[in-house]
Amino acid sequence: MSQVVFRNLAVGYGGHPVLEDVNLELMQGRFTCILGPNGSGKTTLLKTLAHLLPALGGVVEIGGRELSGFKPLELAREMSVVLTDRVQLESATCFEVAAMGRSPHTGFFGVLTQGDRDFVMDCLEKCSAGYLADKPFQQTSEGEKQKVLIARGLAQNPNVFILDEPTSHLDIKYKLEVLSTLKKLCAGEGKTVVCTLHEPELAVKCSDYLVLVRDGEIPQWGPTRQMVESGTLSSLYGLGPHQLDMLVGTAEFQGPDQKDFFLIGSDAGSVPLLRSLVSAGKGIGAGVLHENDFCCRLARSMKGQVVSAPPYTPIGPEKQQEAFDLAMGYSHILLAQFPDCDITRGNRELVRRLQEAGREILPAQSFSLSEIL
Amino acid sequence: MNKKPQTAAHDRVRDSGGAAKNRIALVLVLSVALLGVCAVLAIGIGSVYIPPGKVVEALFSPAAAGSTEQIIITNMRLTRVIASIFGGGALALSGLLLQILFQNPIADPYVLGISSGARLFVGLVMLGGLTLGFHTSSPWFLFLGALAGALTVMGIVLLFALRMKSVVTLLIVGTMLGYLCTALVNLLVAFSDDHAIADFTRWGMGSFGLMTWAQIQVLVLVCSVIFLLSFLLTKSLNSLMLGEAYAKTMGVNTRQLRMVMILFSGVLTGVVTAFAGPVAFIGMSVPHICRLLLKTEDNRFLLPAVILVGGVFGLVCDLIARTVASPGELSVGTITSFVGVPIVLFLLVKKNKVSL
Repeated sequence: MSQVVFRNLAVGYGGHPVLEDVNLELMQGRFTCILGPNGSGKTTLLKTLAHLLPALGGVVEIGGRELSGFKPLELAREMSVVLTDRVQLESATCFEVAAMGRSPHTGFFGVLTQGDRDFVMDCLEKCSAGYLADKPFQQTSEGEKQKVLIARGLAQNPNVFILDEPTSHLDIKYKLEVLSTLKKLCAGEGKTVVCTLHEPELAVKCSDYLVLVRDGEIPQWGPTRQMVESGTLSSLYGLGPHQLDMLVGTAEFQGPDQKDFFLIGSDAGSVPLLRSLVSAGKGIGAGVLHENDFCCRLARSMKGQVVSAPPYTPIGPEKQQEAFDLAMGYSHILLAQFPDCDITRGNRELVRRLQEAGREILPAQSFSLSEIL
Repeated sequence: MNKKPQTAAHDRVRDSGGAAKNRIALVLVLSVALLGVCAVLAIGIGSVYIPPGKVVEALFSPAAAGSTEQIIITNMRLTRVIASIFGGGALALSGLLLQILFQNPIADPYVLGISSGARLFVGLVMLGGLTLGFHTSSPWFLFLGALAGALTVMGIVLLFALRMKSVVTLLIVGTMLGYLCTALVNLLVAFSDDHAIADFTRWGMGSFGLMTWAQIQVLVLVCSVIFLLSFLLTKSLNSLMLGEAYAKTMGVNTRQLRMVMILFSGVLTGVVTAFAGPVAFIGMSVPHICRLLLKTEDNRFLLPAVILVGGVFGLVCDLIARTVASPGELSVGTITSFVGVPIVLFLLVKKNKVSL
């Protein structure tokens, strides 16, 4: 069921649209990530949904009701928001900060009942921030602050939970912690979570839906799995076609176009080997690699030329020829240590032919870049 | 809600909540007591010393009516004590509201030039009144003049604050506006007659000792109304502590709240400045002292504490101002500056360490 619907929405500041003609549906109990390069308008979109910016056109509907029809307090009970604004409180404890989220539910003077207190404490614990309750908010780390602010949002007990870049400035440990908390909220409590993320490689691993924003429009959106398979994410950020490997969820540094090192086959040491070659500024290539081999994807995201074979199939003569022609163009050829079996036999044959053609084959395992240079 | 067994953390929060509540209650009770004791002492101390027992007797027992002590008290000391209590409380509350409004720990009616704006407009009334053809000594007229001045400067400061977020920039803007107002006042003085100048200069030093009973009535009435009304804002003020955007998402009508806060702090600053002249730094120091004492940012407790401690602060500073150089008298701003300036400098250093 769709919980939030955008219809022909235009968003922007001071009458200037940043993003136009937005038509989206956010599903209830699902985790939607909005991805896009800096300045693409994803935060503007989020702030319009949060009713912090007026829509320049079109409508936003929440649970079938128009956003502008909500009274402020009604909206605060339906939806809560975690922003990137710095929160500065000299002497409040983390519990007090989280408890502020109860304010749409408390009476005129905002007195907390024991029920409210327990609810806030539960929210802190869901964000694995229970241990922070008595600590002064100002003395906690950025990651801890973020967890407390998310607990504050939860204390509002919303159906729709909106977060603007909840993982920026956090260590990887906290990034993962925050995202797994959000996932649990969707799966466990049926909350509809929408957030912008700066890390596409994390978004593909945690979200149910992806919304791509670029150049004032939404080129694509849909279930994360479809989006990953379509392979359009790398170009979203203006990267090389394979540089951002969304299936694996990794972005790699790219080597130059020159043909320096060609790797035959792969072994356990091939990943760090390829990375060290690229970081030394060398162009790489590889073959014949099976498509389900991580090195095959890695070499491609490093802009290497790769001859690949379908998973778990013997390397045929055409592939072997293709790899032979490619390898001959490289200055150095390296050989990984792979076991002999039906599906690798083609690579042994490739090595033999290259040696016959007078090429020196270096063992990849004992290879040292400094000796070559 | 699911009924799961209470964890240790739940209990801990409940306990620490209790301890914090006790602390707050203690501070509030102590400040009421301190206010009473200081008031009696302040009434007693002066060129003629009246022991506390006699003061209480003169205040509450009809038998004392007509005695020398009673005349000294009602004609000289009492106005001053009431003025300094309400003046201190009003400036302190005004400072608290401004600090929340501007999200800035050094905001204060004096620092932001709001007092100077009030002073300029009071100057127009006191000095320009004759020239412009309206001569009136009505306290309400002075108050409205000061209010107009306060709101004008606050409007200008707000325009700057919308564009620049830095704590220091706002401080500079306020100081500059203060200079501008002073320059305009000097211009005004140059074109005024000597008699009016003498009055205006004495007033312009800042003192709680110049008020007439008619003025005291206006001060007490206006302050009491605003004190009571401000309690209605406490929940929204708490939400605003997280910033305007967060407050909006928690259901607060921030535009309306801001207008009310501006009006309240303008009225408080205006009414005090109209009768006591500009008094520096009370508005900034007292909220910080209260935060340290109460160890909370919760405005439901901070607000009454700020009013009470502000009263004590005003009273004590006034007492020091009129006794330390006796029989001469210092302006109360001299004393409040001794307390306030170190606090500003401390806060700036602290702020700079984190980020600006």
